[in-house]
Amino acid sequence: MITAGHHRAPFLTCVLVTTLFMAAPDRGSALDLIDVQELVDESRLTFARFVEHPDMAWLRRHAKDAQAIFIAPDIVRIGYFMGAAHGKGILLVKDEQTGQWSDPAFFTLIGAGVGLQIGIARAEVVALVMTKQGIESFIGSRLFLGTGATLAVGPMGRAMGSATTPTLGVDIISFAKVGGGFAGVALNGTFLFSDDEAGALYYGAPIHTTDLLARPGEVQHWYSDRIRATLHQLSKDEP
Amino acid sequence: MNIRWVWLMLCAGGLLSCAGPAQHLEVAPPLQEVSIAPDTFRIVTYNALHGLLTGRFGVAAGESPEQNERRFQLQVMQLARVAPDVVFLQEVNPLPSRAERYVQALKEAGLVYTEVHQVDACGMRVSENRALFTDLNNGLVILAKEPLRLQKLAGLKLSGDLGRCRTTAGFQLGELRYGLIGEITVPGNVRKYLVATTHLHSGFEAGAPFLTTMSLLHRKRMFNGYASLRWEIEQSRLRRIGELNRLTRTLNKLKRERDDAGIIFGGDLNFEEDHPEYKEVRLLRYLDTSRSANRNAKLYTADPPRNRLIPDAETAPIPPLLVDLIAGEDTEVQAAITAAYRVEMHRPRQIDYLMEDSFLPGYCVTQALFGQDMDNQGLPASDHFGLLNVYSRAHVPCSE
Repeated sequence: MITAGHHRAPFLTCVLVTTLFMAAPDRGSALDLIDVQELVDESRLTFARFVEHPDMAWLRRHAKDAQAIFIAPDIVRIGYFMGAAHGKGILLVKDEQTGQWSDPAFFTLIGAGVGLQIGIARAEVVALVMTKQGIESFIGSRLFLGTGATLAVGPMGRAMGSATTPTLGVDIISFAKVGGGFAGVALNGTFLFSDDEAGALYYGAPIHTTDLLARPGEVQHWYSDRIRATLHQLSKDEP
Repeated sequence: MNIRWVWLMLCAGGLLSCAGPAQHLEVAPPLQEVSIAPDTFRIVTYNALHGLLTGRFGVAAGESPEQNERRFQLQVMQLARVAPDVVFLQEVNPLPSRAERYVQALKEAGLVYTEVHQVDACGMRVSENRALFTDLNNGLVILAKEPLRLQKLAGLKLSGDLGRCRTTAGFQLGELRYGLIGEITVPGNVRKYLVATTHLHSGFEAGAPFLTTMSLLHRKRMFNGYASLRWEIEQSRLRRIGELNRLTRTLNKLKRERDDAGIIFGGDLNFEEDHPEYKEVRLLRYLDTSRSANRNAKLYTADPPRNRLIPDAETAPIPPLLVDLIAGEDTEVQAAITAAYRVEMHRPRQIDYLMEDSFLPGYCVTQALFGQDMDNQGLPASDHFGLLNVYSRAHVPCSE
């Protein structure tokens, strides 16, 4: 007997393979400064939408405890039991001494796994990096879970603001918005590639991610003033 | 090939064409070349008021044809008297015919203008005369007076989900916002200038006085919907910030690539000086010309006590969102919030601006309200007053 699933198989396989090809870092792409600025702007808006949402009480209260924040404003996820994800994101690190936030380091994100979802969806992700080990996992290309840093999905809900144990005992705590609603999506099975081309375009000179993360206050680009200010707001008390 | 594959490819093609950037190039007819820099240069931004009643499921005329025509004639008279070199108009209704009428009417007054336009509200439209909402096709216009040359560079979609609007066709499933970007030559200037107009998202409008009252009620544990209200207001603000980001990124890119001398953009921006959006513009390194202009007082472009086209405080409609949020509160609290909202809606505000980046350096600028004349029934030409910037070549310090 031939089922509807058999008819869909070639199409879905084709889509998945194409997606994985499209997701791979493309060194020949014509990335423009405006694209990188858009990533920074959209990351800031994503972060603001997350922390301002009434259901994000825990994030609002504990984001100031993070040592770094990773934001990916537009991850395309596609799958049919097996799935793939692709997007770009930025990481900003807090200076331990001054409390000031760094300029962004740029990353390409590729994910693959089983049971991601069925269909196509766009996701926004905010991840709080609570430990040094979490920050180190962003240096170089790494598979997140099981190779160093531990991950957890962040608590959501209006009554979660007073939840104890700020770090939840893990290195990275992620929050996601898929379609219109917040969802528990972890970064399991996600590769991050440092996007040096985006960094060079944004800063006008090649800047290594390692340098940006190791010395947060050293680079100060005027275009980052607004996202740094948004993160700085975290140190203020919740109204 | 299986018919399903053909259908799939057609759908994919259609979606890709809809997802592409809404940009196209329209070139206005060339005008006579003049090489002497003008002593004065005038720019107006003005929300012309579409005159429609828009609801969630339909659109209807919000005024009689006679009143619409009276407003139009009053607008033309005011424009002809000032004779601005550049005019930014929002809510021009309908397009493209109303834009062409401005050009024609001003020509009859002895002023030769060219226009470019961008529809930002089109509903479902397949041609000029075939549409789901026949009355809905309005948007942004830039007029430039001879001898300026005006060229449309982009009708840039700033926000909104699926959909796009073109001059005579388009579809929208929700609110769309656009920026209309043009380029002008200014006599005596080798390099050109970028000019742009926009009408940013409106949403739930509330300023500091109203929010302070709501916050006090919240702290007294009398208003349970405060967090949701703040969220709605914040969403509107973030949407406007996103629109400003997209507009200025594109303007900056065009300026870099086309080696333009400077930028001026203006329109109905729907925020006030103490809002985060205003700070955003400054951080994006644009200057509010109100700050550089020599003016003596606040210029309120939305001024209910002086503008009879704005509903008065007692009859101002309460937005459904606020009605829902206060539904569960005590009657006294409901009354207090409703009263505070009506006071807020009756407060004079400046929400229209002209913002610049290196526009006509070496000129002194003054700023005044535009469009304060009333018709024979005591009504103004719009529910907004506009702004008029006059740039003068300075031979003395600008402050004198």
